[in-house]
Amino acid sequence: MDAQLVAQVVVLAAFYSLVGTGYVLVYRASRVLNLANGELLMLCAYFLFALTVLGRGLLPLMVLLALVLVAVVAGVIYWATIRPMTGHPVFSIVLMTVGLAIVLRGVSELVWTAQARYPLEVLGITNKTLHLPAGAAVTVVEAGAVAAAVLFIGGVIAFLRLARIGMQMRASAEHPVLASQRGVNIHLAFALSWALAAIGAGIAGLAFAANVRLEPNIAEQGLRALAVPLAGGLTSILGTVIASLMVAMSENLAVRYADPLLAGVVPYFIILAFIILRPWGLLGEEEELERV
Amino acid sequence: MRRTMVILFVVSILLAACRAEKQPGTPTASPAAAGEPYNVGAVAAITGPVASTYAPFTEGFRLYIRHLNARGGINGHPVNLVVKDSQANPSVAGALAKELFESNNALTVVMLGPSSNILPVLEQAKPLGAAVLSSTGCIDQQAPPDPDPLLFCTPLLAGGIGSHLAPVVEYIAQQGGPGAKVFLSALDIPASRAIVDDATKRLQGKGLEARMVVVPNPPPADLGPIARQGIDFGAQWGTGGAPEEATLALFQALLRQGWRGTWVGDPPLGYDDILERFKSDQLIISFGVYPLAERKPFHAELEAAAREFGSAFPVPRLMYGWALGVMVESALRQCGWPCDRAKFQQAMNNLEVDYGASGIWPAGAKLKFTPTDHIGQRYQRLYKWDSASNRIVPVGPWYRVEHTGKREVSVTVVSQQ
Repeated sequence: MDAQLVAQVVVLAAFYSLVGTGYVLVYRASRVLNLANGELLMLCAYFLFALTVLGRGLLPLMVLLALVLVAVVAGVIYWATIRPMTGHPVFSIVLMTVGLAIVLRGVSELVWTAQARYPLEVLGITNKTLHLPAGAAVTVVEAGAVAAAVLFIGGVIAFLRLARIGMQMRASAEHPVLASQRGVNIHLAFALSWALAAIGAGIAGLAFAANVRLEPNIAEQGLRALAVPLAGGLTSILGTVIASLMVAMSENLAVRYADPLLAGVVPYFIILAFIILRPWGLLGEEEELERV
Repeated sequence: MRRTMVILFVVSILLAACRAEKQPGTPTASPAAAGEPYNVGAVAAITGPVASTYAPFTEGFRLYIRHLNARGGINGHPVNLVVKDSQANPSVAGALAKELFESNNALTVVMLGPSSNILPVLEQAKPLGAAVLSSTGCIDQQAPPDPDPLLFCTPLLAGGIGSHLAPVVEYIAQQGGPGAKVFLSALDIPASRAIVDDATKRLQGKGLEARMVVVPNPPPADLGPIARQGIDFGAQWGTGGAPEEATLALFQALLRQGWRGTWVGDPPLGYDDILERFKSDQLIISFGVYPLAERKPFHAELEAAAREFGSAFPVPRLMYGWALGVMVESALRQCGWPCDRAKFQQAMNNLEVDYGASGIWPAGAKLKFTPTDHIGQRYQRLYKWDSASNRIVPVGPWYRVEHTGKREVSVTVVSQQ
């Protein structure tokens, strides 16, 4: 395998694992598949675009603000739409996330139009190419996305294991009634899951917008990344990371050695294969799955 | 739960209302044009996977109609333009066309979206004998010598199979010479594939090595693997026949991997802002109208209209839609008053648009449809960013491209101005 192929697999896997971790966080907390995750990815990128008015010197602050904003939006979404549906069938809640996705995309189109935007260029920043050993090349943004994915996923795992509120989140996910009786504010824990998920998707959105382009349709990339948690296990962050590499590798190999058109099909093929053969994924918990 | 669902429902309805709006080209928008309106429908991909191409195109078209109505319409009759959002979905496009014909009594439906939407719209028009004007890649059913009597193609943003990339093929063949390696990209939609396949064969026929790749629709997150194919192929030149979302992303992916070749973009990339954004010697673009940098009379009119009526898009992105408006106005004028669907189809069959007069095309250049040719002529010129003068400059002359058969074309040099 050549160095460029390895670089491309790692970059794409980083993107997928950022989005995929978001699906896992929300699912673990509330057993809900958040189909608006891609729209949160897009929204964060638009927040960055809106903040470019601050000027290029404040880029780190803009990135931070964009992530905070999307986390707040996700928390509010949970509080305003998902929380009142507690106790309702999962099917209704998943449908609610579909509705949310439509609303978020529609609002974005109304506010920012469908025109393609390029946030870095607005700031006059060039996304330079880094030449790696053995002839591979990635951009600064791509390298940054890989580093951000490592930090984010590592940070989330540490947070869930070590931080008090992280442990409360795990407890709420495992047994909400017991956790609630022990004084855990389970809705705060669930809202925090949504916020963390939005931050993961948001980082992916910022990377995509800075590296490729920004337009409402980039939300589709969130749906494409759905293959990752389904393959890795909807309850396993580690499984998501492994599945990210697997899906990214499959996509790249399909393009390289078969047909580029397969790049669009491979993630969905993987979704189908896992739903049929191993519905709980590589490292997911074998649980009773509700048929929708 | 019920309260939440109600809130979501209301928000969705509001959004839908904002999209399927009563258009600004309504008679009430025009104090000067008070007569009965010409009803024109448009099925446009203003949201969905290719919206960044078609939303500004549609906006330019609407802007022209508002501008026309504000000047008194056509002999006192305003144009009532109703735009519906197809989301680039063929079945939605067909259903909306039916609605426009039946509920809005549209004389014609203008289709602004991918080529896959053309035939579903035509299916709705056929029983009514109404003309359909498509503003995307032209298909064989529009080309001479036996076009579908009801189907017409605007030769602005995109051309037909054989004509769309003809000037690009000429340029690359001339500059690259035999043996040069060319990497071509198509989007996985019918017209794009056919256009690029045809260009690949033409380049190979001229002794160049050409390799075509089809990009999935919608394009994946990372076009790097596809770009790598071009680099491994050793491509010195690149081009594509697809909306901006596919071709420009591939060019960027090539650049990210340190590609040193030259990309010659087709007219869907023909906007000043793209050349200004890259400021790169590696990018040349074929424009289907004069770029804003050339400051022609139609640019001044367009800028004034954008100021007067407002637009969410930058002026260069509105040029092609504006030019489409000029075409529709010409057809309605030739139709006269009262105009019905049969008369409009006849007007389209013999349409003559003087695009040279307003500086959309070079002086003297006209678009002419005939009963045997529903694509007509198209004019293209290549432009690039010149780092020395810090501006957009032409690369060579204007080319006039005309179909002589379904996929046979003639390319002639017409003007250096």
